[in-house]
Amino acid sequence: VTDQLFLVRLRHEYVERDDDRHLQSPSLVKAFDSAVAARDYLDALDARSVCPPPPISALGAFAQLAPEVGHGAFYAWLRSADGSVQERFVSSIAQLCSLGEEGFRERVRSVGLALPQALPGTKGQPYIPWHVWWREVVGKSTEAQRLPLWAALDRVSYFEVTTVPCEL
Amino acid sequence: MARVQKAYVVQRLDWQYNDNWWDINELEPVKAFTDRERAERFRLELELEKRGDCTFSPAFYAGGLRRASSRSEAELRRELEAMCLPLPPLDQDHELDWSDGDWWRAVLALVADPSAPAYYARLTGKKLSPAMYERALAVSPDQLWALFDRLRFYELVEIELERP
Repeated sequence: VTDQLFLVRLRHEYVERDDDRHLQSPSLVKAFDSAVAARDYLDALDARSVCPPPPISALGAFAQLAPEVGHGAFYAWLRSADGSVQERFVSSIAQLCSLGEEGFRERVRSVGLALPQALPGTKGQPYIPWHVWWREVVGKSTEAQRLPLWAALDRVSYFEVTTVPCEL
Repeated sequence: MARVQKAYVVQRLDWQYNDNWWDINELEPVKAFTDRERAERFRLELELEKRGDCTFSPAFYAGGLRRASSRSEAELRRELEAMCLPLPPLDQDHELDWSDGDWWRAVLALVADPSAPAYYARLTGKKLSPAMYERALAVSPDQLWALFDRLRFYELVEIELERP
């Protein structure tokens, strides 16, 4: 029997250069056999009233504060003031979060999680491996800790629904 | 109350040339299954078909040995030697040139075609003993591709499927 499934997934994140591609998170979140159910779940994710399961990362391959060639420069789908969504180059947490970078750090502290440490980069500039931190710290936290972090990253439109033929 | 079961989605990794090498540019869901074995059979079928079209070496395709294989260069070298397969030629810096397409196509031809002993001699300038040649011929293309495990064209993803 061939049918169709509705997949809620992370929007595609184009990584400009990342030597360790395997640090990226999976992209598929959940499947539904009803378009309405998929849309409802997407709306709940967008409203940050639920958060996706732990393997899904909000920070993908994002690994820097200041632009530095060779460390995971990436693009995210950002919401504009008029409500439209556009793919933009991201180089700081502040672009993802209306709280600003310090506000995001405060949010991390408020849920009882440790912040990532800066590492020396290839050109001597320190960089912060936010992608590794999300996977190793946030990914192992509770849903009650993760949800406020997803909510803080409010400038990003993370998810979309796509369809795929299915053999049931 | 919605029922939750598993779905297995076969995704195509869309490698695109970026003026230097190929990069994964998009993940495209191709087909979903509720049976893992059927999904894996389908993924393998597509993977083998795509491998047949791939004429570049895995290291060139992926943009470097580290991006093509989870093994170190020393491990790859040991495994190829254990399979009695020729190593890549040396480049101008006297390093093994894993991106050499001629070497890759020749090694693939060697393991895929028992009537191609000339490849080995042409690549290495020496002949294998009959016993070693038997070992080389016993290697399947799958085993060779498995050395470069990070270069995949299709993946299988298990996710939750919610049904009413």
